[in-house]
Amino acid sequence: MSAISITVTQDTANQALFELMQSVTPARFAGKVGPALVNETKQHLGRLGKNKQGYKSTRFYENFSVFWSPDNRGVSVDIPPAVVNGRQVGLGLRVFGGTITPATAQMLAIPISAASYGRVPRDFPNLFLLKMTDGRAFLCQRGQRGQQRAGGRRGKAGQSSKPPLEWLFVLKKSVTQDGNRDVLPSDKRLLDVAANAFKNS
Amino acid sequence: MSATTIQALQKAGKLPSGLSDKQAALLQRSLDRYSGQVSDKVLTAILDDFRDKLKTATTMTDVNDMRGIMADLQANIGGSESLAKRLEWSLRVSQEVAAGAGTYLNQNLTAEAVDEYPALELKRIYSRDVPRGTKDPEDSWPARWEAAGGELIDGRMVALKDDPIWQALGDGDGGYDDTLGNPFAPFAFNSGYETLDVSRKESVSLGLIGENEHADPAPIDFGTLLKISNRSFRVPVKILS
Repeated sequence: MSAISITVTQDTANQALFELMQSVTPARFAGKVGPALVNETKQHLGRLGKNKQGYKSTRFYENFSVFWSPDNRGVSVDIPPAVVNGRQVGLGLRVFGGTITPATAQMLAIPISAASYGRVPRDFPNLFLLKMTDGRAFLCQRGQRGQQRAGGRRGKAGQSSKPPLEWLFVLKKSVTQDGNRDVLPSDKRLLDVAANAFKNS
Repeated sequence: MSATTIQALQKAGKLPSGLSDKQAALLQRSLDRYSGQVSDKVLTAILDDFRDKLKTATTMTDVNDMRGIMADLQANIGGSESLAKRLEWSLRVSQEVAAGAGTYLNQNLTAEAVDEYPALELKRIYSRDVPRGTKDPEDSWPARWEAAGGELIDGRMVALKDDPIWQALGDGDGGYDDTLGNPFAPFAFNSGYETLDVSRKESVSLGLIGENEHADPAPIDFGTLLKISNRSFRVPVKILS
């Protein structure tokens, strides 16, 4: 999985910045701008809100390190892929979107409850497969005996003799995720940060 | 740890690419002794505890005492799920420390960068449900900063990169026992605080350095990681931030 690379080049800087850049070595330019871009990116990741479902945060974005390095065009900020739940995950999928297919298993297990959010099926030892007549498949487990049902579709709440089912994962052959450019600071913001770092140093 | 392991950590996003030979050698030598030992320590501690309690249990004649021991084992050691959680936690800490080491190197990557950004600020980047200091203000990071000999400047925790405060924070100076021993963030378990570079202009205005004063990089000594691995800690020690 490829890393994300944010590159600030002299081609996109304004004239004043360009002239300033001519007065310093590439290493000096990178040293001025690189750390500022890393600061901005880290703080941006830290400000990202909790998950949409309101589940307990898995601290997903904390898994990613942000590094700067000088390159032949100026300076680049890299966010390498990280290992999350034993799998290598890149931030690029969140930013640009894409289709995920299982690497080793036959199906993807997508969490559908607060209990399974941020977890994988192997975290639940008593899972079983439920296939619906319409072709959908779920991984479920039995809840605690005596636990009340959340709804009343299959009987009155609290009157079931069997422990309720906990629907933890839906199985899918692939998932297409929309991109979200807001996961990272905007290009304009990064350029502003770079320009300010340069001018104010 | 082999060069392949360093490459693997780079691939896992825990270390920056483009390390100098010296940086790679330093890292290799220290992580060689550190990597994986957090988990080993936890496993050893758990197993030793288990053996001790079983040994005690076999000499008991009172059934109630034995029940007490078994309840204690259940509570403190638990089943495989508990062990798995402890190991998972331990591995997470290992990864966070490795990532912190990468950031530490990156903050001292070139002489120009250190000259332009001679200082660091310890700042909350990630939120926590129960931040450190919520229950006991003396446990907060500003309190730890002062206990470690640091001075709050306008309420901020800022110091030069080569300031001994960073190592003192990691060592838990002031009597804190949940720190990790490293001179870089994370300084303690489950911390949401990280260090950010502070520009020369701001460092000068905060009185940390003179306008034309030479700035030194952090004294990178990954031998400190060895201290962490030698510390016999139980996981989780304190799940606060």
